[in-house]
Amino acid sequence: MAIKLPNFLRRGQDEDELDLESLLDPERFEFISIEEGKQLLDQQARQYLNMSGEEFARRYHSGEIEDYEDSNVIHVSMLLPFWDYPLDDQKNHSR
Amino acid sequence: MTRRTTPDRTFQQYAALIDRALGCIASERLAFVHPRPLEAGPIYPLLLNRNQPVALRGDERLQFVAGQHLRFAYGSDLATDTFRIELVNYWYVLSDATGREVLAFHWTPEADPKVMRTTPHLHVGSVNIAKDAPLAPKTFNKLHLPTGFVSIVAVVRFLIEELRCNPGIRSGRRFSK
Repeated sequence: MAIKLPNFLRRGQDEDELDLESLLDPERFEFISIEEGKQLLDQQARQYLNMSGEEFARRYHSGEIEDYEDSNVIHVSMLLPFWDYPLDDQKNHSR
Repeated sequence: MTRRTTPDRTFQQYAALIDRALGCIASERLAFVHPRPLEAGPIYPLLLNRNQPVALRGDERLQFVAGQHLRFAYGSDLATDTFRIELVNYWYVLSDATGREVLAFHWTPEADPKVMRTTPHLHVGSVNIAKDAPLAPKTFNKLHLPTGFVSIVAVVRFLIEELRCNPGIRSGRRFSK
């Protein structure tokens, strides 16, 4: 009878070469792309601040936010790294 | 021989610890942005339930938001083949069932100090402040009560021990904001 190996072992990779999807339980972790992250920012900027993610990012970085300590502003601002990534999403998902 | 580590493996070890803590009170998943390759320098958000509130089960109807910003850094100046994780920002926010903020633990050490407090602090939501409180009842929620660094483990322990959130019970309830 064939022994069923976990996916990461079947790939025959050295453990140092394993990627995150192999290492972490998919029921506990999800991996989202930068593009999905930008959509998340846009969705929550609209939900919490009634503006688009793009507008929020622009206003945040140009000092146009009235109260940076407002709880909704802080909540949405934690998603700004998605917007600010200098990395090219296409390139980053081509591996 | 020095064992080579990768940002992926470093993250895996760190994330497993965070999940172990948050898994005590929430069944929702942790979301992590996954550009390739993970590298030293950029900030990577780690978000419980995509930064949306999760309902906590317990004596009180509470919602919880938790997230961290992480950065990978080389293990030391001389060892560029090992990585460690720097916690850049955290935000752990407790709200009531309607989304009104009750407690918020913030730490944003790299924020612009002209517009944000950069030391770790706690906000007490206005919903939890008596209108006749002796100290600034209308603006007390804006005060930054100093806390020192607060770990996610400490917050989860507080939620379970003090606020009686049921540990180990997966919550399927969600409250709208």
